[in-house]
Amino acid sequence: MSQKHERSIFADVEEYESDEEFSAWRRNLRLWRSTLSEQWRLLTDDSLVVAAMAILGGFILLAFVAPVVAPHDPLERMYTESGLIAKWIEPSFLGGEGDFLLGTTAQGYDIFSQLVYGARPALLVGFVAAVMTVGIGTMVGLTAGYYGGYVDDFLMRLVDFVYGLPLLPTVIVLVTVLGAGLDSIILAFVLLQWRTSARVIRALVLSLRERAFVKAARVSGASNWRILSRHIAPNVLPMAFLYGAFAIAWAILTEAGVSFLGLGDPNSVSWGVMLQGARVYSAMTEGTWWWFVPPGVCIALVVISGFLIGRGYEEIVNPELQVEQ
Amino acid sequence: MTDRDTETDVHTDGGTETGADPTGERADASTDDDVLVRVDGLKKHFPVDSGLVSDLMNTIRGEDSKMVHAVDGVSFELRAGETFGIAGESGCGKTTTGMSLAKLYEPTDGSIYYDGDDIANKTGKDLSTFRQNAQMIFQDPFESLNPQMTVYDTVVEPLRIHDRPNQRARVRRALEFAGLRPPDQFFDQYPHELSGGQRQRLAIARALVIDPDFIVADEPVSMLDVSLRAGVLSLLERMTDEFGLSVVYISHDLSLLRHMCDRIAIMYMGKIVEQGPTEEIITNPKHPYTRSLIDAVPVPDPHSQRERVELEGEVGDAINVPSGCRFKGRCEEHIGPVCDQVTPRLERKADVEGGREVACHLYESAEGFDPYAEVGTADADADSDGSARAPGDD
Repeated sequence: MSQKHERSIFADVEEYESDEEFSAWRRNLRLWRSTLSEQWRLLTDDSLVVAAMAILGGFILLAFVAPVVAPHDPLERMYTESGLIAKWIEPSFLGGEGDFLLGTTAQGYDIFSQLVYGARPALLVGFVAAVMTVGIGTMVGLTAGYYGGYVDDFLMRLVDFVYGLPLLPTVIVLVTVLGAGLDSIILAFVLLQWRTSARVIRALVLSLRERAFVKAARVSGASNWRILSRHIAPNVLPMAFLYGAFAIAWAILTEAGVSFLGLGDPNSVSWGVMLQGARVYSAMTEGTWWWFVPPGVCIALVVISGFLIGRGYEEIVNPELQVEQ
Repeated sequence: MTDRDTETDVHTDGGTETGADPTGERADASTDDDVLVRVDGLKKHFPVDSGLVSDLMNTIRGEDSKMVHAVDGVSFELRAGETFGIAGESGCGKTTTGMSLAKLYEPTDGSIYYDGDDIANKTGKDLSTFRQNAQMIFQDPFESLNPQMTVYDTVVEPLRIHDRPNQRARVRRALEFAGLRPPDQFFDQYPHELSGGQRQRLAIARALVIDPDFIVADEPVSMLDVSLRAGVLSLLERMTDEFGLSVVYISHDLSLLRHMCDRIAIMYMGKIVEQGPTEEIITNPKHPYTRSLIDAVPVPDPHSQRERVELEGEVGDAINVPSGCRFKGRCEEHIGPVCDQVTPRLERKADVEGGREVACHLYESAEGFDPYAEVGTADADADSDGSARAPGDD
């Protein structure tokens, strides 16, 4: 019924060419690669972003090879030659006894080993929390923006409700209820932070949904799923990545803050827990800066790297932000 | 894939149970073999504000939500192989009509019959067949192409959706036809790498690749540079010719429609005011609104002594639609209470020759409708649907 007209430029197309060596799969791979390399080129144009990526890459590497780099187990008590617990030892470069690069804590743990192992929970929290917040936020935003109506109303009122909760106090309450530990910190963070990306993505979808290319897809007979996955999602993806980069930084800050307040697992190692230990044993008044400065610097470096990468990516997503140089 | 594709539009509101007697009307439609598309009393109203909160407020206040009467009772027929033009100012509802034809909107009331079947009832396989036969070309080629999709992916998409064979060869053929040569060079380009004219050619190739019977072209060249228009227009002409297409052109440009169309309809505030063969209407417009539109077309002769009627005022309020004739506030030839109170019907007129229909009280009905009989009666609005209840305002 559909092909009833006698005149058609496609009439002889059947004999024109049959199935060929053309591989859709290989073609998609090539297109993906060219898109990625293009974005990579734009991203690495900015020397600050390159530096940030180097720092973040360094910490990721450090987290993987921690057992090799760290001279001791981070939760193994050190002893001096005389058999006493090696506490409050000064760093070796300041002439402290033993061979502790950054000295030891009041409990006799090796600070350098703790610092190296501390990269693991920080990055774990950062990446897991970022993927989860942005994942949930994107799903909610796509659903609310695309389907609109009551679905949108319901989801956005939920977002409004979550927006009413302050981040740190709520995370503290949730962690208290759920029990201390990394997983409950991640869960608490995700439960609150999906709100930002959900709202931004929804706003984006609202405008994309009315674009003519979505109508063109519908006229061609595309299903809702196809429109969402092929037409709307790819146009939303850069924004989702952007919020992911920012979420990494926020999650690490939150974890450090919550651990610093004493809600981290005391038997785990993280930069926040280190800071809390330094506070509890009043390292500040003792003047043992090698205990609390290094973890603080590490937190700052990772967070700043996350923000810088996010900012660099934002310029790609939003070319209007690019400053004339 | 095909099964899932058919889910499109299932969430839209119930335009399906309109039409008093669909079976009777269908039988009526199929008597005329040539008619491909028949639009019957099409109405499309958009709520001004919707959502949970405003719904609730409206319930509390006991009000109906306000509606924009974008299209308010449009009827016409499109015969197979014919080109039909819809003209009018911005906001007159011509684009909404076009989108309804492509089943992008569900009508609030009235029906659109394609090949004798109401398209509102199409689901599943029927809908898929309709989607393969009816395509649309959009106004802005910078908007109608997904910026993240390559030329090849854009054109091949309809073929993928409907699972057609020989996709690559067809895409190549469609691009070639649309004037993007050599096609293989364009395959991996993104829309932002193309010029405006090339983009519109790409949009046309995408519409044609599925080999449709019916195309709605919504202002196909208005966003293009004047220098590119001729090329795209001749492509559209070739398309109509070689594909044996029936096309509805939507434009505000009467000279374009005169060039492209067999018949045209002039729309004003959601209604057709005049409809008939293009040459008859352009050379001898009858409705005062048509006359002013044609007078607005510039004549390339500085010495031309033409009496110009210039339109004054703004298009009326599409939310609180005035009673009577919608053009009354701007009409030069307003003839009294009959214009204020009685909605003119689109009908043949006894004192207008040719195959044309006009909705104006200046001419005498050939169908025995006497507007003066309705003046002063309580509910003067001849085809009132209960929504046009605003008092006369000018």
